[in-house]
Parts: sequence; C-alpha cells; structure tokens
Amino acid sequence: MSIASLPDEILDSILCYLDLPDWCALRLSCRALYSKSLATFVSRHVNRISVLITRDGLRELEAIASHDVFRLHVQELWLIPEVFRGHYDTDYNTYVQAKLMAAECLHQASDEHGMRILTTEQARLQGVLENSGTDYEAYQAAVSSHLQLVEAELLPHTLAACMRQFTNLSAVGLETYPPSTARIKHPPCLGRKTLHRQLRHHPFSNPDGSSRWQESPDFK
Amino acid sequence: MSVPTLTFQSNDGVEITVARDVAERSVLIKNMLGDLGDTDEAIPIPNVNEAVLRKVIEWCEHHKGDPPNTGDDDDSRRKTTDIDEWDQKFMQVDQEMLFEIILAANYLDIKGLLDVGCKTVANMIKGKSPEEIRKTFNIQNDFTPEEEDQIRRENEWAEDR
Repeated sequence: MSIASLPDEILDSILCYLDLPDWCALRLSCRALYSKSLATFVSRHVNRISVLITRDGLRELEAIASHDVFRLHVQELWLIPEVFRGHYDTDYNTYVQAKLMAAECLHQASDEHGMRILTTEQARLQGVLENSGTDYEAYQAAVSSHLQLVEAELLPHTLAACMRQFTNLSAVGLETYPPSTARIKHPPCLGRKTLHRQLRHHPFSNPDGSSRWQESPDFK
Repeated sequence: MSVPTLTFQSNDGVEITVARDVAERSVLIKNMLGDLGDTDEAIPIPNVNEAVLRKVIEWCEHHKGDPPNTGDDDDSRRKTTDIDEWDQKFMQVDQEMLFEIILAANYLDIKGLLDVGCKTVANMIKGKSPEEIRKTFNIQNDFTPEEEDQIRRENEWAEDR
C-alpha cells in the first residue's frame, strides 16, 4: 500500500488540505501522483487565467489552449491589454524619475512594517539609479514589442483560436495591470514573470507608485 | 443492565465485540442496523483486518461522545490541518497502517476518522520539496528531465506571481 495507490476520491480529500506550493511539489514527485492529481489541480488552480498581451503571455496562453486537460478547465479569461499603464513614450529622464518614485514608495512601505532598510539614503538611491541606461533600453524594447503585438492583425485570430479551445469558457474580460481581484489575492498572470525578468525594474507596475508619480510636478 | 453490543468479524476471521453506540460511529453500520434491525450474528467487515479494525474501534470509542457531523464542509476551500492531540498520537503508526485506517474509515463511512487520516497525510506532504516527498513516501522519481520541465511550466500557470 502506498500513497499513489490510494483511491482517487481519498487522494482528492488529502489534496484539498494542500496549499499551492505543496501541490506544485507533489506534482513533481512521480508520474502516478501527477496524473492522479491532474484534473483536481487544474480545476482548482487554473480555472481563471489572466494574460498579459505580450509575446510571452500569448505563448503561454497558446500552450494552455493546446493542453488536453488544462484547456477544458479554463472558465474565466482576463486579458490585460495595457501592460505599462499607458506609459509608452516616456523619455529617459522621466523614466528615471518614475523609477525613483517607485523605489521611494517601496521604501515607505517597508518603513511602515518596521523593517527599515539599513543603508544610507544616498547609497540606496545610487543603487536604484545604477544600470538605468540598460533598464531604459529594456523598457523601450518591451514597449515596442508590446505595441507591435497589439497593432498586429494576428492578435484577434490568436485569441479567438485559443478561446475556441477553452470549451468550458464562461467569461471573458479586460483587466488593468497588475491584475488583482477581490476573490483571489494574487491571480496567476501569464507572461508577468517573463516581463519582470526582461525589465528588471518596472516603474509602472505598482498602482500606488504610479499614482504618486503622477502627483509629482514632473508628470505632465 | 448491560450495554447493547454488536460483534464484528474482520477479514482474517477474528470476532470483536463492540458497544452499539461505538459501532454506530460508522454510518455504514448504522444504516445497516436501521435496515436489518438488531442482530446477534457477527457482522463481517470484508475489507478490514483485525489489527486495523481494532484501531478503528479504538478511535470510535474515544470519539463516541462527539457531536454528529454537520454535513458537508466542501465550501471552505482552504481547510485547516490542525489535529487534536489524542488523534495525533493515535495516528502515530507506520504508513501501511495509516493508509489501511484511511481505507477502512472510507469503507465504514466514519467521516471524522477519514478526515483525521487525510489531514495526517496532508501534513506529511506540507512544506516539502518533491525530493523530500519522495523520501517520505518511498516513491521513485520516474519523470524524464523534459517531463519535469513541462510540469514546472504547468505549475507556473497556476502560481501566484
């Protein structure tokens, strides 16, 4: 008798006590547990999808749409067409300014939790400004790739093809970036991880940071 | 005045006498008695051996005063895995026995015991890496590296980011 030979209904009762990281680890343990837990995993954790309209976001969406099990469980699809919160042609100085504002916002947030970062203000700002040149280039490249995609004729066809594969889809909607819903604290979001890797700093990713930045005299 | 009793027969042929109110923790037995009325004959429990049956009865005796279960609690998605102290001690058995108890609880329809068993297994999984899970349950990694990559990718589709 081993855990993998328990009847499915009992395995499901065990799995319902697990958090997502435990699920993910269990799925990687062996084939039998992976396949026995697949349908429950998918129906529980992948029934709602947010996707950034970026090349990587769409690539992941297409992968899900062509997966025999995953595609059947997607019920809600939320598209995020606006990845930079409207900041498409920010010049270099404004970009650096936004970066500083975003960092300042983070700094204050950590102060509130009593975890003051033990660096001098100057050193900290220095760190934020480091590599600003390459970061700005990465931002420009990501924006141009995103805009190309949004304006391309292919996009509606790609989305329609995916939606056809999601045979149990019941809702499609638009979302702002970053995604957040009342029901789910951090909804999974296709393409977000890659975007963050690409950008290293995304000064426009934090809704609070962005609004603070818009209050600044340099925002016009 | 004697307590009404029932006799069970395990699948290895051993008869065990149990107080009726203890036996009725099992919904299967309770419904059976409701259908058949009282019986003096030993009730065969075909799927459960003596050792497991004695453990199950021990649990039912300790929990005979518990309030009956209030229906389904399926809507509470994130369930707690807290287990009371007596039950934790009770579940300190080897894995073979643990799984047998779970199967018996499922067959006899003893929800409280089934829950404790499932929570115990869930707690053995929680917080562990795939390798640690394999070690805990003595399972072999039979994935190819490509399959592992594919599953990691699938995990990312669900993960908080």
